[in-house]
Amino acid sequence: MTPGLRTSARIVALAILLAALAAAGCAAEREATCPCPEAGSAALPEELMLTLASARALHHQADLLLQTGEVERAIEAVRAILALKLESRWPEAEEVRLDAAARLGKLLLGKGEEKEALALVERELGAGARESFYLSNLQSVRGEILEARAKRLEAAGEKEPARQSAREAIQAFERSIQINKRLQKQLLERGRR
Amino acid sequence: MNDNDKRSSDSPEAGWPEDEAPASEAERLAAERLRAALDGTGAQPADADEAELRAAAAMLRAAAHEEHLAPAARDRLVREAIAGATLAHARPASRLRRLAPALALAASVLLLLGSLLLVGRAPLRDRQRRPAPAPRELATSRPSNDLLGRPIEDRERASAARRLDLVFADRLAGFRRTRLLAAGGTP
Repeated sequence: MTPGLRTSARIVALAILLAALAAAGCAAEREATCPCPEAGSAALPEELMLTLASARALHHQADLLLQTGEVERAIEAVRAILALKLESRWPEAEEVRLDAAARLGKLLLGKGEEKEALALVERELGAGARESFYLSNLQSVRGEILEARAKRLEAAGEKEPARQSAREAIQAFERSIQINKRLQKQLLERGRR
Repeated sequence: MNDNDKRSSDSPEAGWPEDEAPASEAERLAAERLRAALDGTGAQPADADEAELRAAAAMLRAAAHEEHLAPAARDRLVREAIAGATLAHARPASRLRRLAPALALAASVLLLLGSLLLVGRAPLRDRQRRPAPAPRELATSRPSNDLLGRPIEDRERASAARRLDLVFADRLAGFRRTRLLAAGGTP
């Protein structure tokens, strides 16, 4: 192969390489900015948006009912949120479910329905939700319910069950704190990148 | 009016003052030449005096009404003007004049490059003018921890509606953007 031919071959090879890199770059850009819903594995579906809108309306309804002192109706509104199709495959839906459960738990506790509140909260906590500030909040609500129970048992003279409830409450608060710490660390790390 | 009066009014002597002698033959010929010169008719001038008379008459005629050049005369004038202009500009070329073609070529190349740059940048400008496509993250369902930014405090427990307002508004923006862009519209 003559030197001239060799140089030409190198130029052609370089051009092909540059073209391939450019094509790869374009594909990557398309991939990163693709607005098509099917681009992500969990695109925002209309069904989710409708569910979130319904939950939002029910929360506002509950706010207004509580303002006018209609606690029972407020509780019904929050129960209606939990009756929505809040599937865990959508993180937002799961979070709404956890938040509604926390709110309902607090409302039931406020009404003195401690047992039902705890059952509801523990049911949600046992559903294996992903870690979030909502899950941490629900752990905290569980801690509050157990704390209230411990106080009630203590007042009733049931020392050992009261201590047991207090220990569980402390554990619940601790879990809440740990979740928050991990999430805040993640957010900080993401912020640095 | 009798025949004698009629002949008298049509003849050159009509209205001639009685105390004036009649025009001589030479005067009649001179008058005839002047008329022909003013009319632009007649044969070629016989001598220099007549040529001068014709020129003066032509000026008078041109001042009195629009005069058209004969094609031959027009072509001659144009040829003379071009020849004069060419001679007037046939001076030795300056350095600038010698460089003019190269400068023109350089300017053309610069103009062409500028045009290519503008054309090349046009799609980029259009892309910048358009709203940026929704990044994949905006178009998907995802945890909203980053949206909340911090743990839910005790006093915020009852503010579920406010939290959901925040999350819903964010997701609705992504949803709307995704759908409208997918449909070829602008959010």
